[in-house]
Amino acid sequence: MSDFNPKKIVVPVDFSGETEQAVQSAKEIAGDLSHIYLIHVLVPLDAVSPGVLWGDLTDDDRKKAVNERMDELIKEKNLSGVNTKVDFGSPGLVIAEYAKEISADLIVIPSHGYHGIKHFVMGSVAERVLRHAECAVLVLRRSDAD
Amino acid sequence: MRIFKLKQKWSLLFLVALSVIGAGIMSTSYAQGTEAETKSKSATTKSTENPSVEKPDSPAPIIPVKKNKTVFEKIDSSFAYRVKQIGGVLFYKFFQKEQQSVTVEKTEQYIRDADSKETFKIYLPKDSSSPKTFDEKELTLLAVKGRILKDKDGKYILDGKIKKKAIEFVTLKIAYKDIPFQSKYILDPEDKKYHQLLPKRDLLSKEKTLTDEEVKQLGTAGWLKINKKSTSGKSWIFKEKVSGAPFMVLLLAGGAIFFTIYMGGYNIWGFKHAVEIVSGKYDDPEEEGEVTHFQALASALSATVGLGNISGVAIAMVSGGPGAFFWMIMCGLFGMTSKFVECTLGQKYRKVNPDGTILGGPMRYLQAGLAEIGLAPLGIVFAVLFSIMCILASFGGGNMFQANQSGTVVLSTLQKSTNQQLAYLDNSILTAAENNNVDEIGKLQSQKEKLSDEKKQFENFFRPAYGIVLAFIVGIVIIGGIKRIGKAAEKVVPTMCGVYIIACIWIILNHITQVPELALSIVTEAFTPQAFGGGLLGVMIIGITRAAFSNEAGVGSAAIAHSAAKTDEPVREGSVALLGPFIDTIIVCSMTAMVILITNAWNNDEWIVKQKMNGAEVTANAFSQEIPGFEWVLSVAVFLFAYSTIISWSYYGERCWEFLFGRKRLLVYKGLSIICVFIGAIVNMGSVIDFSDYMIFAMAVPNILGVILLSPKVKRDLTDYWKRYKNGEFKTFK
Repeated sequence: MSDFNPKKIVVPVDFSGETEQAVQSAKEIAGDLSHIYLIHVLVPLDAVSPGVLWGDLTDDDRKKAVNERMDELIKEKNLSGVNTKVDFGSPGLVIAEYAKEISADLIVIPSHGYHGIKHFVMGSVAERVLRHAECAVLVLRRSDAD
Repeated sequence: MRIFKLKQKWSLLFLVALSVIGAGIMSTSYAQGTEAETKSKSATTKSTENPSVEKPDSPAPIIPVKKNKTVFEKIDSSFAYRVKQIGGVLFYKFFQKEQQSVTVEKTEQYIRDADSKETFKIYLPKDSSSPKTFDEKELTLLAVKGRILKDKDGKYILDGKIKKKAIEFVTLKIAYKDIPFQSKYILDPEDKKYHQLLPKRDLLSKEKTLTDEEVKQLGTAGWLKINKKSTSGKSWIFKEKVSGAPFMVLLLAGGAIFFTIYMGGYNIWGFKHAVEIVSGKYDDPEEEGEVTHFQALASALSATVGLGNISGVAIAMVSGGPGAFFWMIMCGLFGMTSKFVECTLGQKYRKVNPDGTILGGPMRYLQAGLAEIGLAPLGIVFAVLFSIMCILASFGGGNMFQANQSGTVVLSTLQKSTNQQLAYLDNSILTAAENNNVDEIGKLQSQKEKLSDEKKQFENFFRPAYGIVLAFIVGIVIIGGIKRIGKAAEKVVPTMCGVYIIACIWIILNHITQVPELALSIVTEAFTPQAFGGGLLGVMIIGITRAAFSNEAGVGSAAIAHSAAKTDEPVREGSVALLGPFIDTIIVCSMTAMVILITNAWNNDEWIVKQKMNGAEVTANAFSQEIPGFEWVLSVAVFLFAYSTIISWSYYGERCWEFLFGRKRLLVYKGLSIICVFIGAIVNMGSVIDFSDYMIFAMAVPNILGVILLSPKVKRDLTDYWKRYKNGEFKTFK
C-alpha cells in the first residue's frame, strides 16, 4: 500500500450503519478529511407518489433534505472538511461517473453481502460500481454478512 | 423476561390456531371445489343426455358438438378453476341454510341430417303430442317467440352427433300451462308450499305456488327436472345450500365492529376533530412527510372513489333492494374505525427516507409492529403476504378491472343509438312473429345481423384502441415520469365527484315527495327483506360486500397513502382517514343508491329482466332517464375515476414492490402494470377479473389479523392523544 496514497476518495453514503464504517475507513486511508468526497444518489422522483400528485414535492426539496442529513452526519461524526455531493440517477452508475469526473483515486463502498436469492433480488450497488468505475474500488465486507 | 416468554407462547398458540383454521377452510373449500366440479360435470352430461336415455329402449342421446375455444377463452377456463378455489377459501360461507326446490322443465328435441336443409323431425320423446315436423320458417317463428333453447350466441339450430352421425338439432321448450319454462319453485318451510322464484332479487312469488301434492303430480307426469343424485323417491326435488356469510365479509365486518367497540366509537366522537384536522388547523409545514392532511385524504380517496361507487352500488341495489342500502351505510359507518386504526398504524411505523419521502403502510406496520410485540416471524409472513397480494391486486382490481369496466361504459355510451336501433328491431321482430309474418322477420333479422356486425366491428376496433390510449397515458406518468398529467387528472377527480353528487341531488330533489316512503322501505327492507326469499343475511351480505369493495376499509391500501402525511402524530392522520369511508360510502355510494332507488331503476323490468342489465349500465340508464345526455358526463367521470384509480393503485403496488425487492427492477413492475391495463381493456376474462377482486379482499386477511394484534397500541395512542388534545397542548396554525 506504500505506493498508493489516494488524494481523492469517493464514499457513497446511504446513512446506514455501514456507511459510517466506510467513512471511517476512508478517513484512515486519506488522513485528511478534505480528500474525502461523500456522495448520495437519489433515484428519480416517483411521479405517482401523493407528494407529487397532490403536494408540491420536488427534486429540490429532496436534495435539500439530503443535504441537511449530510450536514447532521458531518456534525455527528466530526467530519467537517469533507466534500459532499447529492445527485440523481442510477446509484451505481452515478457513483462511478462522479469518481471519474473528479478524477478520484479510490471509491470506498460497503457491501450488503447478500447471497443467493436475496442477492439476485436486491442486486448490489457495489457490484455496479465495481463494473463501471475507472479507479480502484475498496469494497468493505459487512460485519454481519452472510 | 416472563412477559416475553408469555408473548412467545401466545404467538405460538396464535400461529397454531391460525394454521388449524386455515387448514380447515382449505380442506372444506377443496371438498366444496371438488363437489362443485362434480356438480358442473354432471350438469354438462345431463344437458347432453336426454332424461329418457335411462330407459333400455330409448334412442341414443344427442351429443352437441363443442365449438373451438379462442385463446382468451382457453386462458380463462384454465385459470377459472384455480380462481374458483381461491374464491372458495376467501368466500367460504358460514351459516348456510338448506333449501328445497323443484324446476318445471320439459323439452322436446327435433333433428335432421347435417346440412340437409330438410324439415326437422321429432326425435325425443317419440310419443309427443306436438307436431311431428317443423320447417325452418316455423322454427323461426318459435325461436322469435322464445320457445326454442338458444346457445350463448343466440343460435338455436345446433350441430350435434348421434352415434357419431352428424346431425342438426333444435330443443323445443314445453311450457306447463302458464308456468314459464325452467321456473324454479322454492319450498317455504313456513307455509309448506313451493313458491315460484321471480327473476328479480331472488324474490318468491306469493300467488304462484305449488302444494306438495301438485309437485308430486307434475313430477310423475314428467314436467319436472330430474335430480339424478336424489336417493329418495321424489327424484325431482333438489336440495342446495344457500345464503350464508362469506369468510371475507365476516372478517371485514367483524374487524370493523371490533375496532369500533374497542376504540369506544371514535368514528362518531372523533368526527368533528377529523374535519378540523382536514381543514388545516394543525398543518405544520415543518413536520416530516410529503403532503398535508387534506392532500393525503384526497390521494387515498382517488384510489377508492371509482367504479365501485357507480357500478358496485347498482349491483347491490338490483340484487338486494333497498334493504341492502341500509347495510351499505352500516358498513361505511363501522368501516370508518377500521380505516382509523390501520392508518394510525401506517403513520406510526412509516419509514422516512433521507430525502424526506415516505415508505409506509401495512407491510411496514405488520413487520415492525408485530416484531415489537414479539411476533417477528408472523409479522414478516404477514407483511410479505400483504405485499404480494397488493401487487397482484394493483394489476387486477387496480389496472385490469378499471380499464375493462371504464372501456365498457364508454363503449356503451358511444353505441347508445346502435343499441336503441337493435332494441327497436327486436320489438319489430316480435310484432312480426305475433302476426306470423315470416318474410318480414327474415328482412328484419338480416337488418339486425348487419347492425350487430357493425356493432361488433366497432367494438373490435374500439377496445384495443382504448387499451392503447389508456396504457399510453398511464405509461407516460408511471414510466415517463410526466408529473403534470397525473397531477391534472387527480385534481379533476374531486371536481367530477362534485358534479356527480350535484346531479344525484338534483335527481333526488325532483323526486323529493318519494323520499319519506323510500326511507321507510330502506329500514323495513333492511330487517324484513323481500329479496333473497326474505333472507336477512343475503341482503346484509350484498350491501356489506359492495360497500367494503368500494371503501376498502380493512384492506390496508389507504394506509399506504395516508402514511405520507406531514405529521408527527399518528392518531391525527388516522382521524383524517376515518373520513374516507364516510365520503366514499356514506356520501357517494348513498347518492348512487338513492338515484337508483328513487328512479325505480333497481326494479325496472325492461332493464333488469328483459335486457339483463346490471352494474354501471343500470346507473347510466337511471341518470340518462332523468337528465338526458348525462351518460356522456358519466362516461367522462368513469374514465377519470378509472384513470386516477389506476395511478393511485400503481403507487400502492410500487411501494409493496419496493418493500419486497427494493427500488431495483421497479421498471419490471411498471411494465407489467401497463401491460395489464392494455389486456384489461381488450378482453373480458371473467375469472381474471374475479381473481383481482379476490386479491383486494385477500389483502385484508393479513392486514385485519395484524391490525387486531396491534390495536392495543392504537388504543393507548388514542387515549394519550385525546388527553393532550383536550388539554389544548396542540399548536394550531389556522
